[in-house]
Amino acid sequence: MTTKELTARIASRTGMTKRMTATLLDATVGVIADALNNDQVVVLQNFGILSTKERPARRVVNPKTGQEQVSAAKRVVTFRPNPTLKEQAR
Amino acid sequence: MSEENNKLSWVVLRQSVAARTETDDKVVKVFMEALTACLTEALSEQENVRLNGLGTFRSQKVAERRSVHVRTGEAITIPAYNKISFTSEASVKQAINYAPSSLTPNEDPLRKLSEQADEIVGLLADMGQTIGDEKPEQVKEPEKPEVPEQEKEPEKQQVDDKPSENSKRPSRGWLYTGIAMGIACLMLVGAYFVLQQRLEAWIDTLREKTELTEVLDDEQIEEELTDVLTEQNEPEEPAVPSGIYAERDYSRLITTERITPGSRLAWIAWKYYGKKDLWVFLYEANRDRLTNPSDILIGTPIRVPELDERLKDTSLVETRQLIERLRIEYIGH
Repeated sequence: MTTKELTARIASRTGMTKRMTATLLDATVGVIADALNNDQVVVLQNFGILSTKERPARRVVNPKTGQEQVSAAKRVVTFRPNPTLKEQAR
Repeated sequence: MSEENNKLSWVVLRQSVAARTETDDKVVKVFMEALTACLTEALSEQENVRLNGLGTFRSQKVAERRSVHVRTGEAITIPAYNKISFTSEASVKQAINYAPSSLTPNEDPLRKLSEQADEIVGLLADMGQTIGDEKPEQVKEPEKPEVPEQEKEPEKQQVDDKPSENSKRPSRGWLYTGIAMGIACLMLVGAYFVLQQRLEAWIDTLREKTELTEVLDDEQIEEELTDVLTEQNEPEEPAVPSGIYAERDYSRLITTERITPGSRLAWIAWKYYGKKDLWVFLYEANRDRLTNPSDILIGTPIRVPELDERLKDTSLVETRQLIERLRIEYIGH
């Protein structure tokens, strides 16, 4: 599902206009991205938790060539689904 | 927004969205609930959802599998389920690992050097073997020939005493030593000329410098002084007012932290001051140990000084200007 389809679904569910939904979705995504950029944990009710995590440098092997390399340390975004989401997605 | 807690709660998220779009909080609430409901629905139908500007939520079927109960050792089957994961978009990844925070530490060059030294020793040993085997005509290294000369001379005397059977050997030996001596002489002469040239050039530059300073002493100093004074008067007015923005005191330390693989100045700044941008002060406090903020050795102890509250407050214009100035000075952007 793309952002466009999601917008349409939300619009039909809430009865808002698509344009309104699009701006709201855009703002939500923006706020979440900013928070993640500030190393904040984002709690989405009845859905899950988005947070950033430090991944230390590690050795990786290129499966094609078998060459061993070092993948540099970086921060990554992790998502932990809420139990209700897990239950419903089952 | 970010200061209160390290957590963006549901309510705060709703309020920020409302403020950003200038819509009613209730409308946003309805929207957000619909959003999570739609996402949940899609994910339970094993549909991936892509949110522009954030990333993709994926739902993946994990098949039923057999396992063993950890405590009882009983054989159990884990039922099939949908695993939900999230992959962030490239823009988000980039933002999280933003420039100063990607200043990664380097491996110790001494270790590399010692590895290289081992290799060279191995190579030399190989060469030594081949030389011994072949009695080569190849070019001998300039340092070596002097030793064989002395060793070979007594040989020659012995050989001279002996009759003509071995007469080929001494002639060969003489040839080698002659070549070696020639090379050594050439190198010496070359080195002499190079050194002489350098000396002359150096002396020339010295002379020029002294001349220049003399000239300056006489004429230009007054002009320059007036120039500098007029220049200083204009821009320094905003920068000077409080002492910390001109010069900072790093004598009181919170702690010292060692750089480990994967840690960065920006992360240490984030850990102790709450903001990545403040790494410039860490770097400034450790100037005597660090020469380049993006080239830090693993294991380097970093002094973490106590910072003035004004320096920590990035909402102050002076602080932001100072940080930007220092950053441009240290890493150029």
